[in-house]
Amino acid sequence: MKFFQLLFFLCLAFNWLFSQNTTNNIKLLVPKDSISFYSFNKEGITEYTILESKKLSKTSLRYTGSFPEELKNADLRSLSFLFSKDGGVYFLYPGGGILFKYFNGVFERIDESFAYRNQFSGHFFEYKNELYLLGGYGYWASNSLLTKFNFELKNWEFIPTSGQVPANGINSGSFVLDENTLSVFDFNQRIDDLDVINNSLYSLNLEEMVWERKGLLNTVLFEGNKNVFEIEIPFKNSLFQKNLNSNDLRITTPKENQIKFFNAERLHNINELAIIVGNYVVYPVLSADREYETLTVKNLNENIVFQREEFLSNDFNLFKNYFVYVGVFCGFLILITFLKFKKERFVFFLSENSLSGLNKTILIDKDEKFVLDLIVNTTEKRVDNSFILNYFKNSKLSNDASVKRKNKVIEELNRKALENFEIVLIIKRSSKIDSRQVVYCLNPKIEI
Amino acid sequence: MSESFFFYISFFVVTLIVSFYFNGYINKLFIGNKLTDPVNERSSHRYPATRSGGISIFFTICLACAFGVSTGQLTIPLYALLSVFFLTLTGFADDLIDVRYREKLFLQLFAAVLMFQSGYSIDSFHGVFNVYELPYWLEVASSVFVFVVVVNALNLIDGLDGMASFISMKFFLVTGGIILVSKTEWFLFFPIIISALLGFLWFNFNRNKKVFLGDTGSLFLGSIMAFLLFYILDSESSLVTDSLISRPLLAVLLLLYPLIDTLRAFIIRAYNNKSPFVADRVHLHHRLADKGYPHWKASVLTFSLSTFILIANFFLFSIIGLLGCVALTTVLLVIFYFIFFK
Repeated sequence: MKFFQLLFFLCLAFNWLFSQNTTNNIKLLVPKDSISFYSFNKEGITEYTILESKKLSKTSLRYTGSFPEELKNADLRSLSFLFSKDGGVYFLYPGGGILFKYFNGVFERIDESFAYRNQFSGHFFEYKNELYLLGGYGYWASNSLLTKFNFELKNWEFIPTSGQVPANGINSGSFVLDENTLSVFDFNQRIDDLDVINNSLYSLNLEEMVWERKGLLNTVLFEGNKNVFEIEIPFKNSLFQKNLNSNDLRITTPKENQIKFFNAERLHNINELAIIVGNYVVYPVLSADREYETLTVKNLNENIVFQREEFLSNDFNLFKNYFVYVGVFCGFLILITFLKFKKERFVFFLSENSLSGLNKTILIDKDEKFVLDLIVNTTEKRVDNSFILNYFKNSKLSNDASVKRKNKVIEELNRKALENFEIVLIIKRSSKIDSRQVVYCLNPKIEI
Repeated sequence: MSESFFFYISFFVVTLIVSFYFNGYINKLFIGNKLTDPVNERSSHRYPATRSGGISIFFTICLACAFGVSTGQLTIPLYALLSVFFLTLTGFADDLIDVRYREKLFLQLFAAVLMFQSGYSIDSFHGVFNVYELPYWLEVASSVFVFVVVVNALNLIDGLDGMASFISMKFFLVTGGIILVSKTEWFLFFPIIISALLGFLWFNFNRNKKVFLGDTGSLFLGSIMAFLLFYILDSESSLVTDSLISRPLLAVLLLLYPLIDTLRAFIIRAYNNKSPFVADRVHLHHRLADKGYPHWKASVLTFSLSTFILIANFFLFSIIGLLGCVALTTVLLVIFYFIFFK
């Protein structure tokens, strides 16, 4: 029995060592840089540094001055936050408007505005030392508003944007800021009082404040429920997303038009309060008796297993495959059309004074009959000009007149055939033996 | 993939058979009732031919779509359907009892307004002339204008055997790819309409049982094309081609030949102080026919050239941009004109 008691306490100690537990009221984790992060609560702040051994060193201090009244009854975890390049941490009240800053031990409200309540679930971000809030919902409508905090006026101002603005609002979206481009995707828009998923990828150029629709999102983003990946954490120039109830994890990089899917079995207990610090994922885990929280630090690379990669924008594979089939179809269509007309043969019947075929008959005179007979009775359906000309030669006529007579007969025959059968009967070509000589051939599509 | 592929293929094959049957049967009915197309100086045919193609395609598509909807794999927007039906009936009336042009235009405007109710419209210029979202009045005006232009443009190019079918097929094949990705519930319509057109094409190319689209067919197909253009140009729709090509450019390229030919014909008629709506032989395809191209060759050539321009723009848009593509298209059109049409 004593052995088991000893083993139990050893396990507790082991667990404490490896899970880096800290106790007492961990409220809100905010990443600071690639190795350290803050933990805020209403009394003070603890700064943690991840050591190479994955252990945490911590420094705690109490706020100097009073903690803001507005937050005394609020849940810190409902605030949007960001660690600014000026070294401070900014906290935005839900819905926009009220802004707090933590710097050098002082946690204070810095705005002179009010709770706007029209940008719930908007995206709070920093670009070139300015704070912005994009989109969100409020007062029964979604919006695509972009507001910026004016540090001089201590108030928020509207920033106009142009281009292909998502006109029906951006609500509960996914956002990735990379250099001067904010990619926005997987968000809801409000149409006819209904939340409808917008399946496009948008980007906002923060230099020119111009929106651009980059294309259609891959349908894998909409498999099942929209909220399949509830945990969303900015991760370098990507977005880390994890499903709460399964091991599915994906990292989306809009700049590379890429979504990587991973199995994250070892991150099974990760929750919505997780942050990423460098390559480590840090998250609080509530103890079994729900009395205290423990911080867990895990190396991301060692705890996720790559599964597959997909395009973020455009289901190109489907689109490309479709056009392969379309290309084959068009090829066949043109080929079959070509073959149909190439192989088309028209049968005509020649009598003493008529030519019949295609449900029609035309009258022909004896000269025309002779020309046709002459051509038809040759094996190659081809007669030299001189043979035909001999027939038309007449001692009373000049040579030129005979040629004209011959040409007139052939032209008249062709005219009648074209008019009635829509086909030319006799074709004039140059001789294969002597290109200066002319031969008359029967149209290869005709059998007489 | 394979399951849905065979589903689409089976619809394609069955519709093709139905289209063959309807085209043959309705052609016989028309001939039996002496409803043959009169032969005049503008006609390119010398045999009795009927304008039964449009109504055959219409019946074929109605039947196939009814089955498609019953499988739950196809949805059809109600107002678009009403508009298409309305215009098809207008075309049918025109085939039987020549409707005057002004009356036809009025009916087309009414159909355009019906189509506008479908929820898809041209509400943005997508950056052309740096214009994006349009005010409501301009949205209505541009949608109605495009509808009327598209419907009439297809009607006007229906002058050679196979021409309207090939141009329509190009349109439906490309838009089918877009719809497959972004609006899958409409996709089944595309194998249906392609096979219906193929069945018609067989008879259209046939010497002894020649069948024409007629106004029924051209207005029917034109109104469907106009609806799909509305979808493509609607800012709320998401297209797989957005990262490949500008939407307005795509819309123009899809109907390049009908638009260019109509514009050219109107300019020539206006220059000659003639009514732009008068029927004559100034169309580009008439030039091809007059140069000795058989109808099928002229149709295949036009289809191939316009497809080539579309593909070139698809590949080069990301490199040369919108203005570059417009310039490229203009240059290609001029080159092709001098090689084939001059």
